[in-house]
Amino acid sequence: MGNGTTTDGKATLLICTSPRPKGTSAILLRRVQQATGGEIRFLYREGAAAVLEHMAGAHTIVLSGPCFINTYPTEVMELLELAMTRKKDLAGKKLYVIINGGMPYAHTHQSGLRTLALFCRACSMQYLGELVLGVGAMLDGQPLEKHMSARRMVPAFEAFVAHIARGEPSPDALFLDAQTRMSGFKARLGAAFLNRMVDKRLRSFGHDPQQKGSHAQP
Amino acid sequence: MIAIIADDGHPSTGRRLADALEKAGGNVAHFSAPELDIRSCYGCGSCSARTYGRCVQKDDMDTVLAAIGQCSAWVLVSPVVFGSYSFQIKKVHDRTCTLGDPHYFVSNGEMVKGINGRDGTRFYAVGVYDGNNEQERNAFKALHAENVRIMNCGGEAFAIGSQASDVAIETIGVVIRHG
Repeated sequence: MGNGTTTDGKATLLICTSPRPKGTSAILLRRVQQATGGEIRFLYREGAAAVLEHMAGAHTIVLSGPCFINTYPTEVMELLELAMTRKKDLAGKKLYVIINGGMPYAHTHQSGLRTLALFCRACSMQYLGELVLGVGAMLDGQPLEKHMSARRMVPAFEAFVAHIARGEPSPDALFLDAQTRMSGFKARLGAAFLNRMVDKRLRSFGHDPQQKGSHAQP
Repeated sequence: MIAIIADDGHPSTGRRLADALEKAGGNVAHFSAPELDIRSCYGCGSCSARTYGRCVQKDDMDTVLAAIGQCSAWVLVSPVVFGSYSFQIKKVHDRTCTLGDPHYFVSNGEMVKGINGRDGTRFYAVGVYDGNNEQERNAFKALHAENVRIMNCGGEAFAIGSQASDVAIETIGVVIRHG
């Protein structure tokens, strides 16, 4: 395991922005940690103020989180807004970001990456790389090797981690080339398969899968 | 009805929009997000499974969801924060997943979700931004475009300054009222 520093000898901070400490976001960070060392801090558990203090003390930051409606969850926005009060302490630091979500399409998740890139610009941080893991939610704590596109995604992720360990930029092509490919036909098949699972799960809790939500119009 | 959930600074763009819609004869429910007790979504998934259609967290979001459930369109009014919604608005936005249909649909060759029992509903976002960075405005609109795509609903995003004219506000109101 790395000694907590990247190859340029500076401290690494790993931030999990998921409410689940053992989900996909955390699993990916632990994998990064094997190469870079460093502490994993959990944003939902520790709060924005505490995580910000750790950010001020790190040189390289890796942020990993889930995609909630096309971007990172609420707590990340609280962290970014609070971080603006410490812009001077963050200037020059390196940031790598990972976002994972249920949908297979990179574009579904990229707004979160844009937000972090704009944040870096505002704080004079170095935005050095990003990675999207589509269909990541289905891993639900399992290793990346269980991903439906593991054959492409595992080497891409490992290459991304290698860039982080060396403190160098990582090209977007890494994850764009590793995206799960899904044609319209496969999308229809996938939707039908997933909907059977959804209906089964709803029935297991005593719900009618055809019912409207309680807040729906009568 | 139209529901507006706003993170209002001074001047209050959300309040101005609500007033413009009401003046034009619309039925509007206006909420000021910072004044509400709303906790972050914890991604437990209960709303799409165990407590289908209901959030396990009991706070002011129940009132907001009830309003959105009765409306033909809902609007988030937010400062543009790094091309995204502010913390106060993102809290609300994440919790609207309670309204989501857990089923998958296919639209334009891609899997999307939907809003449970709410065909034809529209979602709008008004971003308030006074800076010079066009990337911020573009990112905000791109985020909203992805939102309506995955929610399989209609709607539009606007990016205006905090000192936007009454005409500009009224124009947005016309779009929201008439779809």
